[in-house]
Amino acid sequence: MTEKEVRQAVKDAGVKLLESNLVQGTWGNISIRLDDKKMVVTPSAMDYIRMRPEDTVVVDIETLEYDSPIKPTSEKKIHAAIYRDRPEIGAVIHSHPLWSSALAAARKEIPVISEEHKKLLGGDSVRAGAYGLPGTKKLTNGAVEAIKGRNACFLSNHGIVVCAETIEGAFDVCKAMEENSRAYIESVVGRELNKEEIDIDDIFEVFYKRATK
Amino acid sequence: MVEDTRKKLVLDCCKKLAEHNLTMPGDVVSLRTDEGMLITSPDKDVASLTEEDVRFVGKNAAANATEALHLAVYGTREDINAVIMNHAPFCTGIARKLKSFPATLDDMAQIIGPSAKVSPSDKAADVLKTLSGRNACLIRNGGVIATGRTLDEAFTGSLVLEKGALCYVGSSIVAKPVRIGLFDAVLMRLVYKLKYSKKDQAAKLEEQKQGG
Repeated sequence: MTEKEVRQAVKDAGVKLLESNLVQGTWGNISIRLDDKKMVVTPSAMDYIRMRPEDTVVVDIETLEYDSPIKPTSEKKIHAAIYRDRPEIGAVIHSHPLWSSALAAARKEIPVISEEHKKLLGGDSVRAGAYGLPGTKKLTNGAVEAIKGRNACFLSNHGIVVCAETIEGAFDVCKAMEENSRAYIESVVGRELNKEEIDIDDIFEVFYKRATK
Repeated sequence: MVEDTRKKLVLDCCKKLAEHNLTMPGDVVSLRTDEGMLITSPDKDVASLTEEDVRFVGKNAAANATEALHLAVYGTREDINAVIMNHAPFCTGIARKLKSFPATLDDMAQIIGPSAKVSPSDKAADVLKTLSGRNACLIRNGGVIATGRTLDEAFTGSLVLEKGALCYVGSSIVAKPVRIGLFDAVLMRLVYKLKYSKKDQAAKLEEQKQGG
């Protein structure tokens, strides 16, 4: 793909991320590898609907330098570290899906339930990276460590990071994370209530027991 | 003309609330204007509202307690230009039994604050006190009140608060949720308000004033 096409693909992925409620507001970020040395990333603090393809930023994967008046996402370090470590990766998404974020707040390694999801997520569990404030080295190092050998990880109290060879593949990994996270929470509720089909009243029945302990 | 396009902004917000399953019948959205506010009718589902269901209410012309509450928010909080009162499922569940819940996610700490409190009633005095220093709160046995510098920010607040509620509930079920530390939460909220969102919200506020 040309640089122009990659910028457009990043813009389109941003809109898709927002419309799928995988992020809220201006949070989350996306990158697509341009070549061995460069990636195209979303800008900092810009609504994906308002963002134009030319607002995306080309960033050097090794040095993190960029030649643009527009500031790239503060999480560019996570994206670059994954591209440096994994030559086969072509796209990275950091998002905030609902059920996955719930597990990110638990700061636990979570089992992957189905075989299909194990293939997509690249392992039989999803690890949680250490907590760090947005844009910090601690957050970056935690994410890089947790995603090693896998296609996804939780960012503690923050969201998730996923990667794949293509941006379409990265969306599939995002979807698998969300499905597995919901299935895991519902399985805990189901075991406790001895039920197979779980609805929101069941979830609150278990939650109220925990909250009033 | 400007009023028509502002009504359209309000209806767009209602549509997004419905698309994200954040509403029940009786929910209301309002937008500050120079002389009062535009407010939606509580008599219809927000998804089926039309421009005729959005009416202007002057600063001293509230016809019911809900309108009085919205005007009280605008009267006491100069930073707020949009108010959403809605019923999102996880927020509603929490508002039945808890007095507050902590931010377990960065985005809730940034846009809502270190915790979301539950107002003991929907009386204006209770809600204003609970909202103090925050952009949103829950209402005991009721729903959510989310506010913002723009309709977009109030909508995002409502969405993030529901996500924060789901995350607190979900993480409590599988483990002991880890709340964001108070220092980190306050720091992130300051950075969000004064730096991160400033340019984006300023542009949206200008569009809102121009009517779209």
